[in-house]
Amino acid sequence: MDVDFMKNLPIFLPLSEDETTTLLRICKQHVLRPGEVLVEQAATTRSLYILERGEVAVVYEDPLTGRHIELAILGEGAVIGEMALIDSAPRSASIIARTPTVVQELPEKQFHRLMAENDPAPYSLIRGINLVLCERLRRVNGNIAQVMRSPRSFLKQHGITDADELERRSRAFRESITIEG
Amino acid sequence: MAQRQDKKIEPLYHFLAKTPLFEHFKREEITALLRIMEVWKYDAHEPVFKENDSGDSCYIITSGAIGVQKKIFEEGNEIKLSKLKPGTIFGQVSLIDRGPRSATCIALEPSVLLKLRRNAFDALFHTGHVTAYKFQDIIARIMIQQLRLADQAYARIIQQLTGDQAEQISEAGESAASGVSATLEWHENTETEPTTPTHTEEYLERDFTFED
Repeated sequence: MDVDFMKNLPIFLPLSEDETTTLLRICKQHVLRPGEVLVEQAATTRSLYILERGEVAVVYEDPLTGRHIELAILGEGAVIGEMALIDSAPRSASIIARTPTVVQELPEKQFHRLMAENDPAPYSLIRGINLVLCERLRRVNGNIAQVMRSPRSFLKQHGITDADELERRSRAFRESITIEG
Repeated sequence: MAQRQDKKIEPLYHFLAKTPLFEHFKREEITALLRIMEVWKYDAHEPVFKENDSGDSCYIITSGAIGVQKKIFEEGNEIKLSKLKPGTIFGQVSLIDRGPRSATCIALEPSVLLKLRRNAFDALFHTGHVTAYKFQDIIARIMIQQLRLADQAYARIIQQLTGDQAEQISEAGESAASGVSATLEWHENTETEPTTPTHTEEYLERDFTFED
């Protein structure tokens, strides 16, 4: 992977060329065969991964039923685990290669060592991560407001068309929201 | 009217040093941040900013209480989402992305706030000051927690509406997919994280609060 590839990823936007090079230097490349697991659900590893080539599936295993649910498919340029890198929560889903896949790992240890040395590179990356977090926060909050505003159109989009059922569900929903207004 | 106040570093330092937000900051790091902050006093019922205002600063409450409210429905008033107490930071999303305010923040009683402007913060960051680095990290942690809460709230709403567990998970999984760490059981996880401010659930600005 080169500097140009990284520069185009949203989380690298705030980084200078030098800072990008610093992070690139600590990156480790991994090559995966289809079906190979990159990240295991519930693991407490904290590395961030950048998908350079190929495709991976994000798979959630329901601990109660054991059912596997494919949450998303990610392709080239996808960034995986930027939240875990910062707050070290366990992985919420597994990442499994669907095709021959090349990923770059930004290893947690080296990253946190750079932080401890007050190197600007990791902190500029956190700035980039913050920008992405802002975007997601705004989006999910927008989604919530949208569903609250018109539960009917959400239900319709999800295949509920019966008028009585729509009325029943959206009324129950409105009543269930605490409104101290 | 909001009034700018004189800044007395010493008592402000003692206040911030006791907040979970700054538990990993050294004295000189807190002082460096205080040097670039402004002190503003608000009367009761006075808005700090309104939803959709442009903004690029964040605030830390040193005394009083701030209400977060948002216009959801066309008809009626804004919905009261949460009440923020001293030691809480709010407005950080606009500090980071310079986007419009997503909710209205209003002083519920006479309140004193520390205001951090984007330009002042950026200047500190670009001189390579460790305070700015640490603060950037704190904001990231807070936003991750907020994102997890928001994901959860959204999942709960969808479950309520559809009554379908699978639907709930795949819809809520959007940021799980891109972050692979937005946990569906965040409570267990974040509460053991020592560097995350501890009282976040009741303190933080949350754009939405639902009661079970």
